[in-house]
Amino acid sequence: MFAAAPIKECQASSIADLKVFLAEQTEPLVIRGLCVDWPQVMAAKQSSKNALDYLLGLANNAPVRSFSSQAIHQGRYFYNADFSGLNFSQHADNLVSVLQKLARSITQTDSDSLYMGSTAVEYCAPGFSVKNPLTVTDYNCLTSLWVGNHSQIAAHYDNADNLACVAAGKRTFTLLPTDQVNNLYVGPLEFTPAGQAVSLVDFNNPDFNRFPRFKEAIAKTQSATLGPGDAIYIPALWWHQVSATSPFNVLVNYWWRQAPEYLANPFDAMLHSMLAIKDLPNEHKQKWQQLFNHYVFADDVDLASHVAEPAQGILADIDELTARKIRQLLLQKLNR
Amino acid sequence: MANHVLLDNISHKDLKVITTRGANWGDNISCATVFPSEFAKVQANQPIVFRKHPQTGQFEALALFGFENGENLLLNEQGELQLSYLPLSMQRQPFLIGQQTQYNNGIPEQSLVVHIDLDSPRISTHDGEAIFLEHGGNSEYLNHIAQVLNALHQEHQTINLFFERLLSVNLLEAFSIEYADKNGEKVTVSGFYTINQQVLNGLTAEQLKQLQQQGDLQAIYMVLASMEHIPHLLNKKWAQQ
Repeated sequence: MFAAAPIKECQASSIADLKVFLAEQTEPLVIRGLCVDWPQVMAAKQSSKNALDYLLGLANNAPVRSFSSQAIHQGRYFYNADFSGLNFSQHADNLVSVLQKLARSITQTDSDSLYMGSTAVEYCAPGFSVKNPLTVTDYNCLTSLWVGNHSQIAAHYDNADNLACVAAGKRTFTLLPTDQVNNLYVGPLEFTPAGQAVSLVDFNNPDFNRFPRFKEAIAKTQSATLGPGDAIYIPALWWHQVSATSPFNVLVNYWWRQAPEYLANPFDAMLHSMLAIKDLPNEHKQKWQQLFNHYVFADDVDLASHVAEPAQGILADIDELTARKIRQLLLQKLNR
Repeated sequence: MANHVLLDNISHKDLKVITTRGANWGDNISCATVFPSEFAKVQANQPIVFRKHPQTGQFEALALFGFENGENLLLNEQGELQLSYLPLSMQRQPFLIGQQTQYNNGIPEQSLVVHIDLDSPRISTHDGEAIFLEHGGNSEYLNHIAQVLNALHQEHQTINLFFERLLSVNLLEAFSIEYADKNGEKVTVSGFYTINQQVLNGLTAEQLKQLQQQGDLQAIYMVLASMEHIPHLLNKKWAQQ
């Protein structure tokens, strides 16, 4: 692994109101000791086994999806060698059985990687959020649990703002700003290991012959290692690679979008824009760029006031009714 | 015989489906599964009978077209089948409903997907209804099929409860159909069930009210009315012998 700049950090004790504090952040930030009073964290500070037993006490048998990857991959969940598939397998599982398998793997050396990622915490461990509480936003928030032994999730971005709390084990977060997209050699958009497109560069062992521009990305890289009770704020769309390095690791994360639910998914818009514009002649693309800048990206343009109010439609601030009309229109137009 | 695969707009982009009905397209069948919401339309033209499904043992309702395997007495001399109402179970052909697990924040959710039987005689590349639009969108026909499959899925969820309610008031009785073949030998087709009219007439006001509130009462009378078509169907058989 190359040397990365440290991510800015602060102590949880210096934060008066977490919601207000997070709403003001625009850059990545490590918050040390944010969840030190969680019973899950206190158990983790005693031992991996105590941490596992604590979670087992709350886990249920609801069906979940777990992943496993052979030891040879060292926990890197990725494509297979020729990109015809993935290098790991998926299992219909439940949290109790995942934890039982992890309990056995703790005592083994060189074990396969086992992993349950991003599962609604109250679905698989009811009561966890009450016993291990944190309020991060007034927006609609998804609280998810990630459990496993060693794992390495290739750099990707999420649409939502993210506060990730290490509740057991150790995790290293390696972050890059969104604009490094071209230096990260991002893989397929439609066929992905876990829903999001990933950088094909193995940060732990970068192949500069295949990925020469990654050298430029390194200068922009920030990294931090978190232990039980530490948290990290990852703004939406920042690239992040996450490695869990202990025999037993638990992460709880909170995702929220600073946008009403009725707005469409920006990634879908990008995909459709690629379908519609990417392969046009250059002079057309440039004009579309001007129109996109005017209608989509410019914040200081008055789109609507020269139009009579009842006819403004999507030019005005978008409300739920406008969103419904446009969604229906797009559905019709897309079907051809 | 059957070759069911998940329908997709790349592998199956040029496929069409022949929606003409007839013996050439696999309609030489003696019955079709029907559901209570269809009884009013079916009873106008065919008998509705019940039987236990040979594999599952669960009751099902059938529109009857003939008395022997593969015998459809409603086919005309050219082998065409012209029904004023086509049961959903026939409309769906050659498509089937499939289920796929999708995960929403780790929580498995079953979603319905469309499968197609590539060995069906209805599949064509030049005749019939296009499944996909020119650039891969869904045709009106495929949207209609999706509605039919959805309706069938809903009906499958509730059909057992319908029969449980009829059984709970002893409304089902076994019956058989007898006729003489062309050699004058008596043939008995058994395994059918229908509504026991005597039991129906003896139900209490409260029991009838319950059946009516569940929407079963209309279905029950439709089945009874449809029995009038059995002699007509037998006449057709006689005429063909």
